[in-house]
Formats: sequence, C-alpha cells, structure tokens
Amino acid sequence: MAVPLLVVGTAWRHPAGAVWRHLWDTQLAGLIVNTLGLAAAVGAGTLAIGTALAWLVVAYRFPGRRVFEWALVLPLAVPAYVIGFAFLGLFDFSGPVQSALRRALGDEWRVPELRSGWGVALVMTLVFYPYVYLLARSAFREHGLATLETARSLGRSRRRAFFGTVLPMARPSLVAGVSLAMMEALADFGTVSTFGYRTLTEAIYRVWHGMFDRAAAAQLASLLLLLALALLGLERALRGRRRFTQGHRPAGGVAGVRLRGWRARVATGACLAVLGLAFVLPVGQLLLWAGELVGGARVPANFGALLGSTFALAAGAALSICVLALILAYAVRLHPSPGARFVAQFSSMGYALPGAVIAVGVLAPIAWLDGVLRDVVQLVLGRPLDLLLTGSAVAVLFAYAVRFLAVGYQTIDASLARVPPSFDEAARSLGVRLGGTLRRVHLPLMRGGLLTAAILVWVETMKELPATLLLRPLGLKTLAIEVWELTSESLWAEAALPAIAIVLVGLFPLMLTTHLTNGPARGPE
Amino acid sequence: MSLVTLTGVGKRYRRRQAPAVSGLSFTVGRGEILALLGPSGCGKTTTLRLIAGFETPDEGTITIGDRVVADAARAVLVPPEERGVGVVFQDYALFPHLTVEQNVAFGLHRRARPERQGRVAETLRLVGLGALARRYPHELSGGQQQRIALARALAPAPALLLLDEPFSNLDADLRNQMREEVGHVLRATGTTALFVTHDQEEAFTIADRVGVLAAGRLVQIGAPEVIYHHPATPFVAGFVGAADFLPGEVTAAGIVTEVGAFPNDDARPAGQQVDVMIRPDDVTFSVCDDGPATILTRSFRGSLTLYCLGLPSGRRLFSSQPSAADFTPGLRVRVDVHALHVVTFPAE
Repeated sequence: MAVPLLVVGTAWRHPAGAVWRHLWDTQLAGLIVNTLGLAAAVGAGTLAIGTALAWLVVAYRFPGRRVFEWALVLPLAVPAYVIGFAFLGLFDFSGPVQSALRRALGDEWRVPELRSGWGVALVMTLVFYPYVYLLARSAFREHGLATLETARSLGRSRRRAFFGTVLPMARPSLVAGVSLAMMEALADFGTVSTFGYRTLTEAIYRVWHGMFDRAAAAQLASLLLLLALALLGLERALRGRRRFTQGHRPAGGVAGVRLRGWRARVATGACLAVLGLAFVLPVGQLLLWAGELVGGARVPANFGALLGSTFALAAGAALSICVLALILAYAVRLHPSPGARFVAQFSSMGYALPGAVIAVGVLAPIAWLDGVLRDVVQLVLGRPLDLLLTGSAVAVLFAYAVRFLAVGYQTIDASLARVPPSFDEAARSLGVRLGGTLRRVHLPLMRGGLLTAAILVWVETMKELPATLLLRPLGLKTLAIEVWELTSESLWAEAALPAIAIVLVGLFPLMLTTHLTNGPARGPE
Repeated sequence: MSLVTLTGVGKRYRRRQAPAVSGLSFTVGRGEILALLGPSGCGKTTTLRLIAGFETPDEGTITIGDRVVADAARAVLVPPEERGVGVVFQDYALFPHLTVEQNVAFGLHRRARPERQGRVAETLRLVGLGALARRYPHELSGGQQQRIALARALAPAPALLLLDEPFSNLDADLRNQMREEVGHVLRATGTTALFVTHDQEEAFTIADRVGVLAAGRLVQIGAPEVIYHHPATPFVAGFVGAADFLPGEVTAAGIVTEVGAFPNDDARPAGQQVDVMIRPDDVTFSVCDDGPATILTRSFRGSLTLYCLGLPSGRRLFSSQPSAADFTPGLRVRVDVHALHVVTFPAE
C-alpha cells in the first residue's frame, strides 16, 4: 500500500519536463486556487446545511420529520458526477428549466451559468452534506438534548445553549464530517470534468491521457497528495486535541420541541427543498430520461454486457479486498504488536487519497513488475512477452485495494473484535489449530461483518471513476466510465440509464447502514 | 505419581515491571484436584495460562505427563492444541453459533462420527444436560452454560483440566450447588484438575490441596486443613480466614499473652517475642462485671454474630458467637481463647 504513496511522493526526482514547465507558467496557480477554493466552498456549504438539518431533525418535531430523518441521507447514494450531469441537463439552454423560463419570461431571461466554480460547489455541497448531517445527527442524539437541558437548567437561553454548549461539544463530529466532504471534493474527477472546471484531478487526467506525460502527471498527483495529507493533518489536529466524551446519557424522555404554524412549515420546507434539489429532482430527471430510452426501445445492445463487466470487476475487488483485510485483521489479532497495528493503520490511509493520485502511484510498480516478469519469461522461454499487468484488470484491482482497503478493513476488524479472545483459546485448548479456529469459529461468527464489508466495497468500486479511467484495460468499460463518456458529449438521456443503475446499487448499502444505525436509536422515540 | 510439574517457572509481561510469576515450582498428582488461591493480580491466572500454553514462560520448565511442554532455556514450546489440556474459562467461551451438542463435539474433530456422537451423549449425561443437546448457549441459564463449558472441556478426555475462576459468574446459591456438582464430576471421571480462585471457601471445599500465591510467588501448598490451621506466613493466615495477632513471650510455662498462656507447639526458644494467631472462632467470652475486656461493636452475620472486643492494652480481638445468644456493646467481659492449633510467628 505504501508503494503508490512513495512513487507519488518521490515524483520530483525526475527533472521537470516541458509539459510541466508549460503548466507551471500558465495554469498551475489557477489549478491550485480552483482546487482549494472548491474544497473550501464545499466545506462551508456542507457544514451549514448538514449541521442545520441535523439539529432540526433531532431537536424539533414537525410534519415529515420521521421520513426526513433517514431520507436526508439519500444523496449519499448518488455519485456527484451523476447529480452533476442531471443538473446540467435540467438547466441546459434546451433543458426543461430554461425552456419553461423563456416561455414564461421571454427570451431576455438568463439563468446564471451552472458550468462555473459556484455550480460545481453547489452540486458537491448537495451531494456531500450527508457526511456532516450523519455525524452531526449522531453527536446531537448522543448528548445534544441532554446538554441543552442541563445548560437551560443553569439559566442559558435556548439559542445561547446551542451555540455555547451543544455545538462546541459536537465539534469533533462536525470536523470529521466536513473533512470527509472536503476530501471527496478534492478527489472528485467526474463532476469537475463534466462541468469543465479546472482542478488538479482533472489536470492529472489531461496531462496523462492528452499529453502522455506520466512524470508531469505524477508531479501534479504529488501536489494533490500534499493537499489531501494537509487536510488529514488538519482534521486530526482539530479533532484530536480534546475528547468530548462523557458517560453516555440516553436521550430517552427528552423529546424535541414541537413546531407549529409557520415555523413547522419552514422546517418541512427546508428539508423538502434540500432533499428535492439533491435527490428527488435529479433522480427524477434521470428516471424520465431512462424511461424515454426504454420506452423508445433505444436501450443500447451492449447494456447487459456493461452491467456484467462492471459487476464482475467490482465483485473481484470486493473479494480480493475482503481477503486482504481479513488477513490483515487476523494478523493484528494474533500478534498485536505496535508494528502490526501501524501497518494496518497505514494501509487504511488510502481512503484519504484521491483516485487519480492512486492511479498514478500504482502504475509505476505495476510497470516494474511487468518488466521483471518479461525478463523472467525471456530467460525461461527464450521469447519476449507482451506487457502482462500494465493495462490489465490487475492494475485496476491494485488501485481499488489501495483506495478501499480501509472500507473493508474497518468493517472486518470491528466484527473480529467482537469475538472474545477466550474463544480462540477455547478452540486451541480443544486441539484445533489456527486454520481450524479461523474456519470453525471466526468465519461463522463474522459472516455478517464479512458480507457487509463485501457489499460496501463492491458498491464503492462500482462508483469509482478516475482510477478506473486511468488504469483500465483497453476496451473495458464500467457503468461509471460509460456515464462519464456520454456526459462529456452532452448525451444526457443516454447517460441516464447507466447512471440509474449506479444509483440503485448505491442505495443498497445505504439501506444496510441506516438499518444498522437506526436500530438502537429507535428506542427513545 | 505426578502429572504436572513446574520447575522454577517465571513470566514477565513487560520489561521493568515486576514479574507476574517467578520461581514457581510445584506438582499436581494424577487424579488430584489442586486449587491455586490468592488475591487478584497474584499471578494465579498467569500460572494457568502458562500451563495451558497461552503464554510462554521466560524461565523454568513445565512438564505434563512425561512430555516437556515448555522449557525456556531450550526454547521448547508445545502449542496449546497439542498439550491435551482442557480449559473451562471464566466467561465459559461457549461458541454462540453452535448448539450445545456441536459445542461439546468441537474438540472431537479427529474421531469418527459414531464415536463422536457416543462421546457427546455420554459427556452430556455426565453433567445432566442430555435433554438440552439441540439448544443454543444463549437459551441456557448461567448454571447450564457452566455445565456445558465443563462438558466441552471434558469431552476429549484431557489428561488435565484447568478451570479459571469457574464459579465467579454465578450467584451465591448456584455457586454452592455447582461447586459440589463439578467436584463430583471431576472425581467420578478421575480427572486431574487445577483451578484458580480468590475464594478460600471454594478452594477448601473442592480441592485436595491448596496452593497460596502472593505477588507471583507460591507461599504455601498443602491440604486445606494445613493451610488453615498452620499457615506459613501471616499473609496466608489472614487470607484464608480472619485472624488477629497478639504479642506474646515464650517462657517455660508456654507463650504468655494478655489473654492467657498458650502451649509452645512450635518449640520456640524461651525469651523469644512472638505474635500468636487467634481466629474469631477460637475466642469465647463470658459477661463479668469486673472483666478486663469490653464489647466494642457487634455485627450480625446471620447464624453467627461477630463481636469486636477491646482488650486492656487497647488491642482488639474478634470473636464469632452463635446468634442464639445476644450481647450488647458496652458490656464488660472475660475473654477465653481455646486454640486447638497454636500458630506463632516471630515478632517483627
């Protein structure tokens, strides 16, 4: 896992090429400003929307609250580039919104251009606010209302209690949520490229595929890596200094305030507006387009094959990542040395790395391996061998493993940790070896965790765009790539079908996790 | 004929920290039940884990049967699955995804199916739970889970059974019952057993011999009566039962203390200053207006009542009396001590 990181980190050993100098002279400053600005705007936007909605849902009662409570998470199921192109289609000059406005207000009317920094930031805020919403909601649920009561019993007004006590206590969760959203914004490739907004990820792709300058791409990637690591460090610094945990006081008996009249209408309206913009409207548009396609019998003939190859690739990733994560988690359990823990933690860091960075980092070791293989084959068989791994599914799977190992590892490690160590000892004292203990005790007990891990990884890899795009074998297409290729030609309706498939698959783990997280929280209601 | 032999066994978990156990040497005879008794943190569970093979000793050797299973000097270490040692865990560690039957059969994987089924049925009968074979552990009561844990450990017919605080998760009534049952099963099967407890009553009821551990060292090992009546150190004396110590002087007439003279059973030289151990059940008193001692406090314990007596020197002595009679604090009394075994320690 460290290899891709090292490759990108040491990109500067190669002298800067002509492409790099050109970039430096003309665009680099703009790229960095664009990337940072986007991340900052998304951070601010998600913080505001996510926190406000979470507090609304936890502390107040209003019509529809119960539905909004889980429905507000839905945008998380949809990749940003899908929402992005649905918006573009909706607000296009020939799209339904502008057409309707022109009919109503005449030709002079102009809608602000969506293909701009603000447009991208808006779309990403709408897609990524659930990270903040989810973490803020559980923080508020855990101690928000009880804290509010305590503060008010000490004479604070509701407003002062919220800003002075509840919000600072939820800070670690808010920081974690916002930094997740900002990392996604940094890593995003699909949306910015559809919107024609120039950021580092998009530049990596252009330099790689348009100018075939791998060294320059690696140097751009190292810049992006630096930004991601800085964000990670900032998050740790803001979150880790103090720990706001207290004895868990169940929120039972503390009911939210019932809103009446116009206040209730505003609350419902706000939730409805966010959910409508971020999910109902774009997904509805996608469904319409997809419906036209299916109704007009214009479903591409290769759609079945596309589904098949996407599912297969994602399944391969899920399987290999789960096996890897299981080996890692089991090794830490058997030899819980600080070294083993560090290795496990370190290999989970890939989740913070943008896919484009990983793709650049993966290519070099794969190419090196190819070279070694070729030499070996040459030696043994006496004839040369074509590049075996470069541009093969192996490279893509390697990149997936780097990026999504954390998803699998955390789930699997958590379910392994629930098996008491005395179970291992009981099995061994009954004459069963390590392998037998794993097979007869751990695996059956971890079945649920393994399945969850596999599903989560499967869905994540299916949505992945930049690494797949950069590393895929010739001719291999996934749903995500199909969506991206069609949208870059503004074929909105044609892109809707694979996009809907991605959305449907993405809803699956969401149901799984809301089912899990809502289980215990349902108690006090 | 001993089954288990420990010679100079030591184990240190972290450098620069006191060893968990050190210089541990003892044997367990074939068919014997040995209890390791001591306060929490004295190293008794570590000893058990060293014998089971879950921990590696830093020094010394451990022999089970005629096989050296651990030898620190020659780096011999037999893994737990090859030691043929059964373990009953404090939390039972029953596998929740397996039925009672499958749990008991877990260690029988090397046997043929018919033999395995016969052995499971036999073992379940032994612990009296044949009817529950198809239940899952979570459907059983605490006592039943305890019995299944015992059955699972006994099923492969291990040469040695280790029990780690086996009754600590049960409530008082059930604990007494399970002590008797487990003791009965162990004796009926002729199993050699080593169990760890911090409860001296438990150790005395079940074990043939008791070993007392303090701060990682074996302080005394012997029959329960010996441990109780002839403790080797004041620590053992205090740990296995309440005890007071009164200073006395060895004279030709015996050991003279403020509550009377005691026979010099330990044959200590005349003139030596000693502390005499006195247990509350050896102390009686009679109400007497000009008695030298006073009843200070009285605490009711059910069938017995514990009185704290203030002696003229200001020292205190406890006396336990049947609750049939009742004395109020403040009464003046005359104290009589009838120790069957007089235990003395040289004065500090």
